[in-house]
Amino acid sequence: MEIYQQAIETLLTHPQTAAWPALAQLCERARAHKPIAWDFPLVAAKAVGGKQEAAIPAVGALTCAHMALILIDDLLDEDPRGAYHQLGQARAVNLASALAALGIDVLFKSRISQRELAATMLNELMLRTAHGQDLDVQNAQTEEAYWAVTRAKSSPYFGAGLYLGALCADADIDLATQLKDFGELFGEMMQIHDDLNDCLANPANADWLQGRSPLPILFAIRVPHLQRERFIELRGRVSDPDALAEAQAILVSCGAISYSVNELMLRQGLAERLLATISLADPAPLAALLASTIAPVKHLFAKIGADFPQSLSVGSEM
Amino acid sequence: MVSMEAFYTNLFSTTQNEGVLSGLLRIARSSLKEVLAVRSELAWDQWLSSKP
Repeated sequence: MEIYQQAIETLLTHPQTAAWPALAQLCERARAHKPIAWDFPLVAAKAVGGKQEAAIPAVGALTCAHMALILIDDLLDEDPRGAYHQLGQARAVNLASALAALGIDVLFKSRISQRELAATMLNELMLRTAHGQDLDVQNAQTEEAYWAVTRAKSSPYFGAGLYLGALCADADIDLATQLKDFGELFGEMMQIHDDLNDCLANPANADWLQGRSPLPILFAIRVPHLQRERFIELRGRVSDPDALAEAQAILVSCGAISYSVNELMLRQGLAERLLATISLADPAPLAALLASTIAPVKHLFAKIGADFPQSLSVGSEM
Repeated sequence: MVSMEAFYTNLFSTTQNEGVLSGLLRIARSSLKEVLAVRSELAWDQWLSSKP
C-alpha cells in the first residue's frame, strides 16, 4: 500500500476515529485530497538516510494538522468552499480541535524513539499557526507585520513536516532542527508564490475582495510610486473587470511583481546556502524541492528575455 | 530582506540596473498581458496546489 494511504489507515484505525463517524469521514476525505507538503516527512527521512516507511506517523500527524488548519482557515476567511457550510460552524471548530489532538496522539502512540519531541513539534505547529491566523485576520498593513504573519502562519507547517520526518528516521535533534529551519524558509517562499498567484487571479479573488494585502498589493499601497493613489482607488472596485485589469497592470509597472519575485530569489539563495551547510546522507530530495520552487521564476525570466542569475545573492546588491 | 522603498528606488534607478535588477526591471516594463500569459502557461495555481 502506498505510504500516504498507510498514513490515512493509521488515522482511521485510531480508536477515537473509529468511534466518531464525522471524524472518520474527514480522514476518508483526506485519502483523496493529499495536503500540500504531505510528503515532506518522507523527503526528510530519505535525506537523513532513513527509510521512508518510518515517516508514516509523521505523514498522518501532518495530515491531521493540515485538515484542522483548513477547517479553521475557511471559517476565518468565510470561504464559500469551506466544510463548515456542511458541518455547521460549531461542529467544524470541534472537529478541528479533535484533528489537532488526533495528530499529537498518533505521534505519542508511534514507535518513534523521540515521540515526545515529535508531539511537541506538532503542538508548536498548531500554536504558532493559530497565532499567525489571528495576526492575519487583523490585516496589518506594514512590511514588518506582513513578514511576521508569514513566519507565524506559513512557515511552521513546512518546518514541522521536515523535522518530524527526520525524527521518525532517528536523526538527532540538531539535524532535525536544521531541516526545520530549511522548511520554514521554504514556507516563506510558498507564501510569496501564493500571493503572486492570488493578486494576478481573474476574476478578483478573496484577497482583493476582502481588502487583504498579499505582498504585491502591500507594495503597491506602501511605496510612493506615481500610480499609488490610482491603485488605491481601483482596489476598492475590482469586481469591475476593467478596474481589476488596470490595478493588476499597476502591480506590474510599479515594481510590485518584481519586488515579490526578488524576495523569492533572495530566499532561494538563502535556502541553497543553508542546505549546503547541512550534513545529509542524501541532499538530492531537498535540492529538488528548491529547484521546483524557483522553476516558475526561471520560466518568467526566460519568457521576458532576461538572464537568470547564476548566483542568488541579490540582497547584497541593494 | 530588502525594504520595499529601497527596492523601488534601486529598481528604477538609471545607474544601478544591472545583473538581477535588469531582469527585474524588465518584468516591470512588461505588459500585464505578458505577465498573465506566463502565469497562465505556468498554471501557477495548479503548480501551487500540487506542490510539492
